[in-house]
Amino acid sequence: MLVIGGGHAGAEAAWAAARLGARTFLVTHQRDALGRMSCNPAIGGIGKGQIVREIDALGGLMGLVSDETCIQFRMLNRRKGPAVWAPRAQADSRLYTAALRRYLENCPNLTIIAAGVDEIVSEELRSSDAERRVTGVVLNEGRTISAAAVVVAAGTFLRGQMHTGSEKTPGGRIGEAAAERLSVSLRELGLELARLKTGTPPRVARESVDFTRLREQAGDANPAPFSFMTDKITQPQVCCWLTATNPRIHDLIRANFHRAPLYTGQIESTGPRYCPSIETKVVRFPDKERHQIFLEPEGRDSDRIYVNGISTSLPKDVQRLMVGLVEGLEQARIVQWGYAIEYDFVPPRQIDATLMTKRIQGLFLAGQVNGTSGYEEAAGQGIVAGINAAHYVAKKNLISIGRNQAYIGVMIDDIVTRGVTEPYRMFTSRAEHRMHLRYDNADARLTPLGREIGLVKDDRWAHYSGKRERLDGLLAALERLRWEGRPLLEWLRRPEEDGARFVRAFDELGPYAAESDVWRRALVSIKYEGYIERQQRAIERFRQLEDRRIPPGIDYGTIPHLRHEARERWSTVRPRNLGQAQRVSGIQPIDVSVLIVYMSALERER
Amino acid sequence: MQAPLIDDSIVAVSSGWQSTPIGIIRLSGPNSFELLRRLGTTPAADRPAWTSARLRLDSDQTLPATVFWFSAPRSYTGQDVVEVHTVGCLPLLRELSARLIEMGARRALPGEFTARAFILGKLDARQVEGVLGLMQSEHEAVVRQAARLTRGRQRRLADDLAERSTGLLALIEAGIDFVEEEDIRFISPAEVVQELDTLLAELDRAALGSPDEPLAGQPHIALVGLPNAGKSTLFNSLLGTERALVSPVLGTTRDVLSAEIELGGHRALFQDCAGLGSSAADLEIATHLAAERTARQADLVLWIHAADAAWDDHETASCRQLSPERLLLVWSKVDLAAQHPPDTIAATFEDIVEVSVKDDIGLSRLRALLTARLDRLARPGAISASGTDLLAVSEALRRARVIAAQQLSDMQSPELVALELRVACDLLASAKYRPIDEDILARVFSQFCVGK
Repeated sequence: MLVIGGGHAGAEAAWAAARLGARTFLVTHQRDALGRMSCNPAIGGIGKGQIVREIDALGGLMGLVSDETCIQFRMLNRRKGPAVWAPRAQADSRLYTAALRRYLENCPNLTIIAAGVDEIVSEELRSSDAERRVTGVVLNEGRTISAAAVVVAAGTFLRGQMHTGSEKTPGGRIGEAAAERLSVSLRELGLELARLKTGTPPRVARESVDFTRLREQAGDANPAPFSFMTDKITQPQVCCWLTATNPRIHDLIRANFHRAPLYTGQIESTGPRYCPSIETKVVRFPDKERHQIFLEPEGRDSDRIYVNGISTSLPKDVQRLMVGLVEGLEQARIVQWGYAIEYDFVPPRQIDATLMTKRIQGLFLAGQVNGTSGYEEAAGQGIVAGINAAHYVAKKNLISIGRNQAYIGVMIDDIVTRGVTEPYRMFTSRAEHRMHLRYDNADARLTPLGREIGLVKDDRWAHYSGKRERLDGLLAALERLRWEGRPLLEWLRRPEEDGARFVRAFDELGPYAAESDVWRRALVSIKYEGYIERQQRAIERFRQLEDRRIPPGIDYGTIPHLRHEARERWSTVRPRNLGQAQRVSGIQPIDVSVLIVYMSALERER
Repeated sequence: MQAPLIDDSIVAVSSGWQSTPIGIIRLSGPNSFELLRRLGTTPAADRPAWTSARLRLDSDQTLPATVFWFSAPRSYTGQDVVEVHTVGCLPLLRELSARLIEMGARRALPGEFTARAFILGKLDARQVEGVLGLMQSEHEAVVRQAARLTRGRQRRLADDLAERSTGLLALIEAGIDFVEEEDIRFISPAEVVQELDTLLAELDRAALGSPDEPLAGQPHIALVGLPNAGKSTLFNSLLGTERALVSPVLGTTRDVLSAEIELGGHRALFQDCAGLGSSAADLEIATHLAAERTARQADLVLWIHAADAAWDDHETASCRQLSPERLLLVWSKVDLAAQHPPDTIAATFEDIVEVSVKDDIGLSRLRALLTARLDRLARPGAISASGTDLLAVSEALRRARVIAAQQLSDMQSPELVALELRVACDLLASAKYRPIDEDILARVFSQFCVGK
C-alpha cells in the first residue's frame, strides 16, 4: 500500500499499515517535513486530547511522539468532571518532526520516498458496486509505483493557494509547493472536489519580545502523559505568555478592511468558525475591546514565537503595524507572515466509515482532504485509513469505529453522514456518549480492538492487562474493606470523599493509590457509576440500530410511502446501517420506521 | 432522535392528547406486564383478560381504570399488550403515561404499533405497502396537527421551552469546550440555577392547563352493533388494513380496538366495540361496559346491523338513547341478504348506508357521509399531537437543578448538568430535527468570540 503525504494523517496511516505487515510506501515532498506543524505548536486540547489518547490506545504514534518531545503539559478542565478532562501540550515542532521521522525510518516494511505524486492510476471494474480499482501512482519524477491500496493524506496541499494581502502564492504550506496534478487526478477519477479555507498567525523572533510585562502561563506541576505507555514526563517544562489586542489594533484593522482578502472577495471559501481570523473577530464582535493572545514558543530552544489569537491574511505592512501595537511585541520582529490558505478537499460523503471512497476500490482518504482540521483529527483518520488499507491489501474485512467507542468514531461518522460545511473540529459536545468517551479509559475502549487488529504488540498488551488487573483488584478491595461498618465503595460515592483517609488506614490500598491513574480511574467509575450505567443502556440501544446493516443494493426509490426527502438523502449518503441512516440530516423517525418495516418484509420474502 | 426498536416497551395514549370521554393508554413490549404490575395490577399471563383496577399514580393517589391484557403472541402487535381504559382526563392521562415512561416505557412513534405487528409477523408480508401507508399517514396527521397548533399556547410554550433549554445547554457546553478562552465567562452557576427555576416555573404553569383555551380534539367515532354484525370487518376496511382481529366466530373482538384515521382531511378516532348482548362471560361484560361507555360518549355512533339478521327490539331501545345527529346506520353484509332496512326503524336515523365490504358496495358513500359528519364535528385542536412529555422534561430539568444547586460556588460537574439538560432538549426537539451539537455550536459562535 502507498500513502501520499507525511503529515499527521499520513504518518499514522503508514505506521499502522506497516506494523500490520503491509509493504508500505510513504511518499512525501520532503523527508524533513514529516509530521510538520503547519499551524500552532500544540497537541491535544478539549476533544482533541481524547483523540490522541485513542490513537495511542490503538497502537498509534502521536501520543508516544508527543510525550517524548512536548515542552509544556496541561490537563484542561481539571476542575470539572473527569469525563471532560483533556490533555494538551505545547510541542517542540523541530523535535516532534525529528522523533516522528525516527519512528518511521526505523519501522520495518516501511519505505519513505521523497517525491510528489502526479497521478493515481486505476482500472475499470465491471461486476461490482464500485466503478474503479486503484493500481498505483505515478510520481512527479516519472516513476510508476504499483499499489493495491492508496491513502491520500495530502492535507492542504491540493491546489493550495496562500493569501497575504493581495499577494497570492500557490503552495501547500509556507515554503512548500502545492499538489496541483494530484488534485486533477482525483477529479479525473470521478471524485467531486470543493474548497475550504484556513489560516495561521504571524511568528515573531523570541529575542525581540519583551516578556517582562506579560503574564506567564505555566504547565502542570505533575504533567500527565498522552500515551498509556509513558509512566512519567521527565523533561523540564517551559511557559507561555498571555497578552491581548486593544482598540488601537481594532481601529487599524477596520481602516484596512478594503485590503483584507477575506472581505475583498479574494478569498471565497469557508473557514472554521472556531478559529476566526482577527479580521473576523473585529467584524463580528465590534464591541469587544480586547482579544486574548497566547505567545507560544515553537520549541524549547526555538527562536520563533507563535502568536496564537491573531490568525490573519492582512497585508504585510498592516501585520507589522498590528503586531507592534500588541503589549510586549512593540519591538517584535516578524519571522513569518500570517496567511490564509485555500485548498481542495473531497466532500466526505464520497467515503464511508472505513475511509475508503465509495466509487474507487482501494482508494482511502484521511485528514484535511476530508474537510477536517487539526493534527489530532487528521491522525485519528490516518490510523483508521492505515488499518483499512492494510486489511484491504490482505483481503480482510475493513473496520469502522463506532460513535459509542471513540471520538474518532464520532468524527468519522459525523463527516461521512452529514458532510462538512466548514473545516470540522472535534468538541466534546458532539459526543452523545461523553460520559463513556473519557480521557482516562481510552485504553479500555480501544486497546482490545487494537490487539485484535494486531496493532497492539505484546509490550502494550501486557501493560494494559496489568493495569486492568490492578484496577479490578482495587475495586474488589474497595468493596470488601469496611469503614464504620460500611464498604469503602459506599463512602467513595459521596462527592466530597477523595478516599485519602482510607489510604492511610488500609495498607493494602497503598500500592494502588501510588499508581495515580489506577486510583483515579477507580474513583471515576465509582462516582460516575449511575451515569455510566445510564450511558451504557443508551449505548446498548444505539448498537441495536448500528448493528442492523442495510442491504447495500437497496433501492430507496422503490420503498412505498417513503417520504421524498428521505428517498433523496438516503440515495446520496447510502448509509450502511440503521443508526447511520437515522443520523442523516433531514431524516425523521417515521422514515426509519418505514425502512425497518420494509427491511423486515425483504427478510421475510427470502 | 427517538429510535424505533422493537425490544423495548412503547406507550401511547391511543385516544390522543385531547380531552376525550375515554382515555386509552396502550402498551406493547416485553415489559408491558411488568409495568402494569408496578402500577399495582397483576395480569394473569395465560389468556387475554381484563380487570377493573385502581392504578397507583403515586403514594397516595390511585386512578380507577379497566385494564385489558393480551399475552404474546396472541395480541395485535404480537407482543405482550396492555390497554388501560380510564376517564379521558388529560392531566391524568399525561401523568399516567409519564409515569410509565419514567418506569422505562418509551413513547411510541407514529405507526409504531402497526410496525411492530408487521415485523413480528402478525400482518401478512403482502400487506407491507398498506402498513407503510398507514404509518406514513399517522405521521402526516401528527405533522399536520402540529402545524395547526402553531398558534396554540401549548405549542408556543413547547417551542419556548425548547429554545431556552437549548440556549442554556449551549452556554454550559461552551464552558466545557472553550476553556482556553480565559477571558470569557459563559454563565455562572447561580444563573444556571435561576434559568432552570424559570423553566420549571413555566412548566408548572403549563401543567395546570390553560383554562382560557378550549380543550378539544379529534372526534370519536364508535362502531357498535350485535355480535357478528361485521363491525371489525368494516373497521378494517375503513382503516385500509387488518387492524382488528377479524374472524367469523361469534364474539371475536375482545376489546375496544381503537385507531386514528384520516378521512376527508379530518382526523378521527375510531373505536371498534365488541358486539353488544352476546354471552354473559366476565370478559364480555367488561368489553360491553367499555363498548357501551364508548358509544355513549362517542361523538358519532355507527350502528352496524347485518342484513341477514333480524332487527332486535334492544337495538331500537339502544338507538333511541342517542340523538339522530349522532347516529348513522350501517346495513352491513348486503351481499348475504337482499333485505333493506324496514321503514319502521329508518325514522330513528338521519342516514342509512347499505354496505358490503366483501363486494365493495356502499363503502365510498359511507366515507362521504362520515366526512360530512366530521365536517360538522370538526373543532380546532389545542394541544400538540406530538404531545411532548412535559412531565419527563420537567423531571430532567429538576435533576439538572439538583446538581447545579449543589455547586453554586464553582460548577464542578457541568457535564452532569448538561447530560440532564440534554435529555430535556431531546424530548422537546421538534419534528424539524437538527443535530443538537450543531445547534449548540451555532449558538455559541453567534454569541461569543471563541477560538484562538
